Amino acid sequence: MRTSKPKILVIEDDPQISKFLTITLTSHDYAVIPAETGREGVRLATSIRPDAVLLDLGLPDIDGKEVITTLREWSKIPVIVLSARGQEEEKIKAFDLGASDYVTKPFGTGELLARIRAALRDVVVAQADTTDVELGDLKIDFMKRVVTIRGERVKLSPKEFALLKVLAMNAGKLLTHKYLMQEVWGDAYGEDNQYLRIYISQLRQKLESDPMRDQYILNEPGVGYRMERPGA
Amino acid sequence: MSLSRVRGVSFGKRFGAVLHGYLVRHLSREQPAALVYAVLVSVAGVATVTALAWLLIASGFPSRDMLSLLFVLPVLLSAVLFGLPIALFTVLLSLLAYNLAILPPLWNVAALYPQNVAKGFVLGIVAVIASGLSTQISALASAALRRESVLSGVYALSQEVLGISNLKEMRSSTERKVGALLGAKTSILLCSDIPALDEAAGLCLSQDRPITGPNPGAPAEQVLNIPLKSRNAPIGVLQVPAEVSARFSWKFIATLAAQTASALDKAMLSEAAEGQRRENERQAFLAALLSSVSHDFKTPLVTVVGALSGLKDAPIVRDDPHWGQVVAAGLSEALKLDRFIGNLVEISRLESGLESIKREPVSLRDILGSSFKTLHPLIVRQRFAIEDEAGFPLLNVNQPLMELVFLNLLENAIKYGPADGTIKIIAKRDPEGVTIDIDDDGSGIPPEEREAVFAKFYRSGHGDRKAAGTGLGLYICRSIVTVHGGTIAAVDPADGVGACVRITLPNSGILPVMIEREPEEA
Repeated sequence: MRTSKPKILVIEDDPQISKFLTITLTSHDYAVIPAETGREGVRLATSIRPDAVLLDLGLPDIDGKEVITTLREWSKIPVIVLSARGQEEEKIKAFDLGASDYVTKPFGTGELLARIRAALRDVVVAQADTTDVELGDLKIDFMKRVVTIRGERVKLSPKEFALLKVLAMNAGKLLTHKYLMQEVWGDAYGEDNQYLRIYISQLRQKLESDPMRDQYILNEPGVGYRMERPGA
Repeated sequence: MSLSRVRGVSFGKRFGAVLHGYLVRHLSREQPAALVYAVLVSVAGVATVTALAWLLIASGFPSRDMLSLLFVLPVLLSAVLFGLPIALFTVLLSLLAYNLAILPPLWNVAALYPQNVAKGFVLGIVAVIASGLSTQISALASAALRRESVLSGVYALSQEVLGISNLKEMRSSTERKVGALLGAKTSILLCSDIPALDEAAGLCLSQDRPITGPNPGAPAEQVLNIPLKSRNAPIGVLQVPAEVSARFSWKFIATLAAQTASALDKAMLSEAAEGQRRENERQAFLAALLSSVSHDFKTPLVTVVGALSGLKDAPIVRDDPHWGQVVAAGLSEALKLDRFIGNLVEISRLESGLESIKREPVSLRDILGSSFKTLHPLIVRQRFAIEDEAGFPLLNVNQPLMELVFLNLLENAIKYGPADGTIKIIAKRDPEGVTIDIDDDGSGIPPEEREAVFAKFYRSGHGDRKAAGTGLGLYICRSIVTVHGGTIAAVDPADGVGACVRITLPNSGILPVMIEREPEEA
C-alpha cells in the first residue's frame, strides 16, 4: 500500500490549464509537480520519479513525442497524453512510442481522474481471480459465463465472450488493438485488426440495444478500445 | 487612298486623276479663295520675272533670248505649289509676257516667232514634269502622314489600354478609341452578351469571319461584324458601320480588331488574376482566422469545461438541484461551443486541401458510439435505434471526420426532434455501396429547403423555436462525405414523419470482411 500521495508530473505550457490541473488533482489527493517545458519535464521526471505523467503534445520547446521517447528509455511510468482534436495522427504516434492513455481537450474532471486511476492500476491479466464485473446495467459472471443487461440474458459466442472479458476486467483502461488481438486471437492475425472491429461491432449489437444508454465499449480512433460505465 | 494604290497606277492615269481631283477640289464652291490665290501667285511670279528681265536689259544684259530661261522659275513655282493646271496657266502667261514685254518688237501680239513656240513647249514640259513630281511627292507625303496617324492611333490605343485592368473600362475605352480612329460609331459585343447578339454577330462569332448585317439598333443601317479572338477562344464581336470598309483598308481594320481583341483579353486575364489573388488572400485570411479561433478558443475551453465538470461532481453542487442545473447548462453550452470549433477546424483543414484524408477500416457502430458518447449530455428522453443488416460491411473512411458527420447529424436530430422521439439509423448495403439514413420524428425539412440546408452558413427560417446553430453543420457533413466520394441529401422519410438525411458511400468507401459464424454458447 502507498503511504504517500501519488505524484503526478504535469507537463503543460498553458498557465491556466496547468493551474486548473494542479488545483483539481491536488483536491483529489494527488501531489502535483508542474513543468512548463518538455526539457524541464524530462529533468523533473528523472529527479522526482513521479507515479504518472500528464503530457501536453504541443509544447514550446521539444515535441511531446520526444518526451515520451526519452522517458521510455529508462522508465515504464504511465504517460497520459493531453491531445486536441485534429491531433489524431500525433496521438497515434505517441501511442506507438509508448504512451499509456490519453484525454482529448477539453475533458471533464471525472474523465481525467478515471484515466489517472486506471493508469495507476496495473493491467489485469485475464487469468486473474475475478468472479464478476458490474458496469451500470451490465453484469458479467465470469465463473458461470453469464452476461445480463437489466437482468436480461445476452447470448455471446466464445470469441465475443473472451473479448468482453478482457475489456471488462480492464474497465476504464485503454487497450490497444494489438493487445486485444493478441489476448483473444493470439499471434495468428498480427496487426490486422479487421476481425477485432467486426467482433466489437457484433458485441455492441448484442449489448447496446439502446445505443445511447448502453455505451459500454468506447472506440478510441486509431488506438484501441476501452470499456466504461455509460455516461462516465 | 492607300500608299500602294498611289504607286500602282500609271502616270497618265494619275495625271488625269490629279487634274480631276484638282478641279473637284479647287473649282468647288468651298475653295474659290485657293484658286484666286494660285492665279494671283502665278501672275505675281510672271510679273516679278518680267520686271527682273527689264532690270537686266536696262543694266546692259547682252542677250534677250537668254532671258527666257528666267520664266522657268514661276512655272516651277506654280507647278510645285499648285499643280499642273496653274503651271500651264503660268506657261501661257510667261509666253505672253516674254513675247510682249521682253522680245522686240515690244507689245506686238502678232510678233510670235516659231522659236518662241518651242520655248513655250519646253516650259510646258517643265510644268508637267515638275507638277507631276510634286503631286507624287505630296501624295507620298500625305500617305506617309496617314500611315503615321494610323500607326500612332494604334499605338495610342495600345498605350491607353496599358493601365486598364478592368474589363468594363477596357471595353468602353477601346470602343471610344477605335471609333475615333475610324471616324465612326464602334461597339464591342462580348461573348457573355450572346443572348443579346443579333443574327449577323452570332454568325460572325460562330463562323469566325467578318459578316455584314443590319444594325440591330437601327435596321436600316448596315454594320460590319468582325470576330474578336484571343489566343484560343473567341472574345466577342467588333461592330463598325459597313461604310468604314470603303474608307479604310481591310488590313488596317483587321489590325485594329486584333488590337482590340488583345486589349480585351489582357483585361479579362488581369481581372481573372485579380479575382484569383483576392480569393487566395481571402482563403489565407480565413485559414489564419480559423486557426487562431480554434487555438485561442479551445485553450480557455479546456479550463472552462474542466472547471464546470469538476463543479458538477462536487457534492455541494451535485446535491443542490438548482446549482446542479445551472452548472450542467454551463457545461453543456461550453461543450456545444467546443463542437462548433471542431467544425470550424475541420472545415479549414478540408478547404485548405493540403491534407489528403487517411482512411482506415472502421465499423459504423464504432463511429456512432463515439458520437453518442459526445452527445450523451444532450439526451432528454429520446430513443435511438440502429438498424443495420447482418453482414453490414466495415467502412473504409477517415474515422475522426466521419465521426464529425454523425455527430452533426445526430445533434440536429436531437435538436429538431421531439424530446420523446425516436432517432433511427438505418444502414443498408446495395450494389453501389452503402446507404445510411438518419431519421428523426421532428417537423422535417420542407422540400424547397432540402438542398439549401447544406449551404455554408445556411440557417433555416423554420428553426425559430429551436436553438440555431452556426449554419456550418450540414455544410461540413457534405464536405466530408464528398471527400469520401459519397453523397448526402435530405430525402423523403420512409416513415413519412420528420427529417431523413441519407448518406451514400461508394464501394471504395466500404470493406466487406468475411468471418465464419460461431455458435452462441454463453
